[in-house]
Amino acid sequence: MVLPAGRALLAPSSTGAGAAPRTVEPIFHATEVFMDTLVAIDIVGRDSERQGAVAAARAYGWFREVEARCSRFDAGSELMQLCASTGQPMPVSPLLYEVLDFALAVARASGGAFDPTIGATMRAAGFNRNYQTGLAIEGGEAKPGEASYRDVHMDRGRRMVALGQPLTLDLGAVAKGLAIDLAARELQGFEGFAINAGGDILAGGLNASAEPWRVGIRHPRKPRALVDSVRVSGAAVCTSGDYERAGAAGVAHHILDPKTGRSSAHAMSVTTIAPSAMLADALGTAAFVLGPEAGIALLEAQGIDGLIVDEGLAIHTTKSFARHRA
Amino acid sequence: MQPGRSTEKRGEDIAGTTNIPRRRSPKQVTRTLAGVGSAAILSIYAVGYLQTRAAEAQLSGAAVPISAAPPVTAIPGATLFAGAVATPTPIPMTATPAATAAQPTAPGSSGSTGSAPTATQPPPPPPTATPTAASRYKDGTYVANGSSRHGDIGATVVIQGGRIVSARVTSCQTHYPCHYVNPLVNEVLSKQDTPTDYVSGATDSSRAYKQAVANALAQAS
Repeated sequence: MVLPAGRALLAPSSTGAGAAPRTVEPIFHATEVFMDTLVAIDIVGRDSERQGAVAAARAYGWFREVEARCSRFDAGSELMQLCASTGQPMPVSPLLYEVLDFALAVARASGGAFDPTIGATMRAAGFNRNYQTGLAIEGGEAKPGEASYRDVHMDRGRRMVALGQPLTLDLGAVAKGLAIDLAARELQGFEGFAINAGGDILAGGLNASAEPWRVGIRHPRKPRALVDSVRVSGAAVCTSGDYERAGAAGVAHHILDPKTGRSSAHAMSVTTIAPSAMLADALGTAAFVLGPEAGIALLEAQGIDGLIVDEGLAIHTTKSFARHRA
Repeated sequence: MQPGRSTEKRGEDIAGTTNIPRRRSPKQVTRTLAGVGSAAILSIYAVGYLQTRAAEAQLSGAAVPISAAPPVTAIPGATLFAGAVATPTPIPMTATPAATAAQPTAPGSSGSTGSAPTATQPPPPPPTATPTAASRYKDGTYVANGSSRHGDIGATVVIQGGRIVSARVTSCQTHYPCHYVNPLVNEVLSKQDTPTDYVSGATDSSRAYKQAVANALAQAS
């Protein structure tokens, strides 16, 4: 997805040539909780606060929609209903079909380092509670490590999905990004906007100082320090870190290697800059599992810039990462 | 983007339901993940467009749940704070009125210290004062507050010789330990500006401090 960076800024002022345009200024900010994280929306522009609020409400609507369909922690979600139907082709919504199709494409491109069938492994590692209700989710017949992305069969013509064996899909690494990307589409008419969902950021247009948005990259061991900072417009900056969520069952953190079922230890954090948050998030997760060398190679093969802090705190970047530096 | 990593595979056979063999036609289009991703997003958005319009209609009939923040004034130097609190600080240490009285300043007059004006700037700023880096702030001591979900912070910014020489936290009612913002204080001093808009990989607990500094610098501009 290519966001029209600063498009509105280049458009002639509606007040006509010669008239001084209204200053671009912050018009709206809100924070809500979705997907177990804070989702902040900032809008800058010349419109009214109310226009910002209406657009932001639509944007948040996408988070609600994506979460309702893709949650692994709600037995009633479309995702979990699909997971309960092993062996038979199931018709699914366009949203679930497309996000799953994308997740499988990332799985193939990363040789399985990213795998959306990791749900049973995640559950066994203790990532099994709904953050809103606190209730644990049942796993059914799916067992950790017994299925892979190759067991998910897609039929685009009929928009159906069949699971070849019992498995639990986990779209955690793509759903939040998807929600950010869809939300961003609701905000594109403004001179600038930014969506920050728990440190995964998509910024469009320019900030209130009429510059590309400045995004720092968190140091994985010093919560308030930065390892680098970048300027972006029309791009997502997502970071997967080993400091984010600890497991309850002896795993160090939430980014598990699908092949071992254990926390991947080659990296402390991976930051990716991509045209969409969904892509940034998914490739960041894959690169985290692959480790610095193969991870950077994957990002470069996909034309995505990234920065990896390895287990020794050394920093690895893609060749053209430097062009984003603030 | 380099081709070849991701080959589009469409129409994979659904187990037991079709006999379409998997095949790779030589004409098959190779697509990067970026292509697959953007097609997916557009497709979902197109379908859901009507749903969100319905939500909008619902909203426009009812009170819009906007943030509690009062109407926003321009805050020169602020790069983030759409919801910036523009009310006067409760600690009037200087004669300067608080952010509400700050004159809207031309965009671009508040870039990073020493950086050249951005070439892609939007409608040119009014040809009024464009302070240089050295003179962009007026000397004095400015106190302002910032608030966030995580609590409130008051910051005192001291400008001497047009430069920020101090940006201390002078009141702190946050849920997190206040020393968390110490690196931001250093960032303000080194950049002579508010800290970065966002931090990737971190929840935004520093918002209150950034807002407080932005409000203080608005007074100083």
